[in-house]
Amino acid sequence: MSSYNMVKQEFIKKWITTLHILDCSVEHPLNVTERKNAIKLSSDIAMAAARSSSTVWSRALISRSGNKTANKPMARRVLKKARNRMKNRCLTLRRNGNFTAKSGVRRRTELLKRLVPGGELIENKDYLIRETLDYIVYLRAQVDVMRTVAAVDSVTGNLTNDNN
Amino acid sequence: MNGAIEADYLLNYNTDMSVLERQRAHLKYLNPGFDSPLAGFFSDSSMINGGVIDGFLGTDGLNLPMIYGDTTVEGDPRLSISPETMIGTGNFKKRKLDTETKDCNGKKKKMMMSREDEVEEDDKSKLTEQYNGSTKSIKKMKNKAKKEENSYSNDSSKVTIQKTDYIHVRARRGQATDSHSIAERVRREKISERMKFLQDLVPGCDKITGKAGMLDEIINYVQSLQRQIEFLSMKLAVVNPRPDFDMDDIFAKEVASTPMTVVPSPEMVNSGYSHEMVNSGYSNEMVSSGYLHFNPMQQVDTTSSDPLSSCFNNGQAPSMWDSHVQNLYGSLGV
Repeated sequence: MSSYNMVKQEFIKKWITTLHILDCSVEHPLNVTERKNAIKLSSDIAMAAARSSSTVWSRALISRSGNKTANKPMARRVLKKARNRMKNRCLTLRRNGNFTAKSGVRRRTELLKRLVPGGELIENKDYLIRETLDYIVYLRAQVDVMRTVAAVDSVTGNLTNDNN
Repeated sequence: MNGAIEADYLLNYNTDMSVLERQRAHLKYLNPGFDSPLAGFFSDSSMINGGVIDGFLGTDGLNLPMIYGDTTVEGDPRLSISPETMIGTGNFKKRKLDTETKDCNGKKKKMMMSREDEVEEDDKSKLTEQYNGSTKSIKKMKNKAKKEENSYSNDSSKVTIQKTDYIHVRARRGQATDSHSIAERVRREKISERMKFLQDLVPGCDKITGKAGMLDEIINYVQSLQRQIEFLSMKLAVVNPRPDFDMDDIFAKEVASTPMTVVPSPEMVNSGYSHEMVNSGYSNEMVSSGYLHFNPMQQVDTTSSDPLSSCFNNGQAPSMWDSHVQNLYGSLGV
């Protein structure tokens, strides 16, 4: 289990960094939705950064998130590679229009491609599944970390609220 | 007599190993340092799969297309491998030696036959090593290996060296030896291997066979994970007054959950301190973890331009964390 713990630690490291870069760049006060988006965005970027961009999904996630944040240097700071590579390819693919696949496996692979970030770019089915596996591991890490933090937070929630 | 019986057994043993497993072990041999997150993700029995698969599902991210066209031979450094490492990798070392010295296209069959011999030898010695577990057998293997090296180097003068880009695979007994069908078989094996892997990863997949069902499960799982993330981030947003606030909790949780020594470094730079805090060796002195994040707080205060300091100044008073944190982490058991 130790390498899974390492994944989680990597993620936490990156998440702390992104959260606090984001916090510095955005004005307070934020409402709940904005906060939630900030948390989600930062954790997505952190997850992709933890994977260190050797996978398609991590680069696609960075480029996708880069569009959402007003502060582009943030994404660049966390992951120091050019993410615009992926962005243009994603856009052109979406422009090609939707078509519905008839047979079961094909339809499902299309769906999976839409779910996994950067999936549309992958032609080879083997490769898609391999990327999905990797993505699932990191998603799990993200969920586990967030769940633990949320549990801690809810317990100490009354403590934090007292100070505000 | 014994040799013949053992050889027979070994021949069958070899043919049981699939083409795919050999390729994979080959890759793993080439890249010994790999550790994939997938490795530690499973418990007990699935580690058997995971241990072999890591090598190429991990950080070796984009090498899938390269499996059919392997990296070139590394040559001489291999030949001086110590006996211990030769035990597990003797097979593959020899195969590389083969690719240097043999013609791949015309003499494929001959290669297969001779490689069978050498693999047999290695396996025989491997087995005897396992059974005896003594240094004598290691020496025996070393001698055998040396003999083989000599014989192959003799052969090299006769045979031209062709392209060394491909992994040579061996056809199993009773199966077609056509290169296309071999490649096809490797591809199918790979897909099914990965499906098995997915079954380990995605919970509740053991009963399902067939690609469509598996894909369904995967899709459901990914969707559910993504929805969980949405929900959890909303939950975190509700509880915390500012997004930055997670930090204290993350630290404390992280520091309590994994047995690590965390040494607060004197130069608590922005990202530097998270790095220091989280990235240390593994030992079990975690009881005083609750106090550890006080040190960064005290030291961060000195760097006034640091946005962190504002975060911590707005945070809770240290005294409150003191007893509460200790109790909480004890009770939560994170």
